[in-house]
Amino acid sequence: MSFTWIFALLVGAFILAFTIFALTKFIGNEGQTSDLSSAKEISVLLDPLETSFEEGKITTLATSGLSRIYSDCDSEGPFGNQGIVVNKEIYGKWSDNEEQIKSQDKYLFMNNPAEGKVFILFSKPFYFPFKVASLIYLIPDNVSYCFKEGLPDQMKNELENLHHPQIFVKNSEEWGCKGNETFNVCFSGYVHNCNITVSIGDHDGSVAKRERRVFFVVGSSSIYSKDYSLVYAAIFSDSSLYECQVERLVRRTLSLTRIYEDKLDLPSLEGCNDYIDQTLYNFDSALSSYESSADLMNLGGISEDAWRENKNSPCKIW
Amino acid sequence: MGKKAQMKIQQTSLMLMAITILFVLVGLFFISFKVGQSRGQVNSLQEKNAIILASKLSENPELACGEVFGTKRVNCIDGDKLIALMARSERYSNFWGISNVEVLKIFSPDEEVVECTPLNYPNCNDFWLFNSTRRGFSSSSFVVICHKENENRGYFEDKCDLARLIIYREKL
Repeated sequence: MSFTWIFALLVGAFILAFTIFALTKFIGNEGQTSDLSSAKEISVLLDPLETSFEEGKITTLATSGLSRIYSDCDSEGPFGNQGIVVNKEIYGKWSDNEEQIKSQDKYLFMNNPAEGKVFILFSKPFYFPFKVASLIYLIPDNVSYCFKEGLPDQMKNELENLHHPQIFVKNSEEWGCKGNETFNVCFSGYVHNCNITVSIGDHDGSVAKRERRVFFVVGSSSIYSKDYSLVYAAIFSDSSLYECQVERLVRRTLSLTRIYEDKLDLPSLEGCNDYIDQTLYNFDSALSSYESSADLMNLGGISEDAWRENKNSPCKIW
Repeated sequence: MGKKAQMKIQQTSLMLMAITILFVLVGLFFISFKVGQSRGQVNSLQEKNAIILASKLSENPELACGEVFGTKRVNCIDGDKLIALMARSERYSNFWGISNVEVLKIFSPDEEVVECTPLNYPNCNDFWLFNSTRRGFSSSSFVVICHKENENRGYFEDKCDLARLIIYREKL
């Protein structure tokens, strides 16, 4: 074989290898761009759910193919971060994108990962004792939650009014809980065939899942209604995700408490601090020592006192 | 090696170099096109986000009136809370993913723009959450900004003005 041939073959092989390498990289990048773009679109879609207009309504999110959505949570920075990662199935193989779309003002509760083509989202406001944030819950359309007897009447009404296709509330007439994957949610007293057990009191309670227990607080959103947003969060999400998100919520509550404390110091509001000042400072110091959701049991009482004092004050501060 | 063979090698090398350069140029053009496309996509998503944010920011617990001025109001900013928030704005610098927030009261043409500080509040009409610089593209919505005034000891009067809530977001 002549030198020309050897030379041409070597260089040709190099060009071919380089092209294949560049093409593989490009396809990988395209996949990652598509996953990131989906994650960003989900993040943008979550924005309207945070407004009071959209609270208590369901929103459907449909993806082009089978997708896995991950809700990641970290407590870095002043308010921690909500990360959203999307992986898509392409020709039977899952993309391995780990890049997250991060935001500090969102709280997405779900079981990790949520897999499917259609996802159903809804949100509820969280009051502690003032409004802190809107909590967003995500359930894939192939997972069902079956709520058995014993849940409080308000929760039952809220869940029924939601008309969520994957949430079934048991009543005496009809009980058609079905789905590819079902979670039986039981309340105090009823313990047969339960995946999730909820113990609920007047102001707080706990949710037990696979040997792990997390705690929640039931505040007052108005004179007539209670705030069960954290109960839903504990039911619809992983225990570890719940603990992290609640820690972020407590940090935001602390920041808002300090804003309200500063507001009370304004000269134009002189006299307002006679009604609520001390309770707010007690709440501030209790929030500062928060470590896990078990501490919510202690915080719930102070929050309820602050809510009552503000309600009865001639100059409400929230 | 004969002269003819040397000539052939030179020809092949030149040919291969030309092909490589062509590949590199096409690659560069393609990469810059894709980067531009991605940047456009990001900007479009950011813009979409900014429009949604402008309409929902007044509902944020850090700004919303809540039940301070009677029953629950929508598109209402609590001026007293906003001035308290401005003192703690550093913590919120990355919170909403925007570069600045301005709340500008609607005033008559003979009035001047007076930037709000804790010292001149409430006798001012322009609130800047982070600093008084306009950066990137903006989107806005109309809101009501309210505050309480202590008329007599224990008697508070609610005062409200129409305002524009402007959100600034940096372009990529």
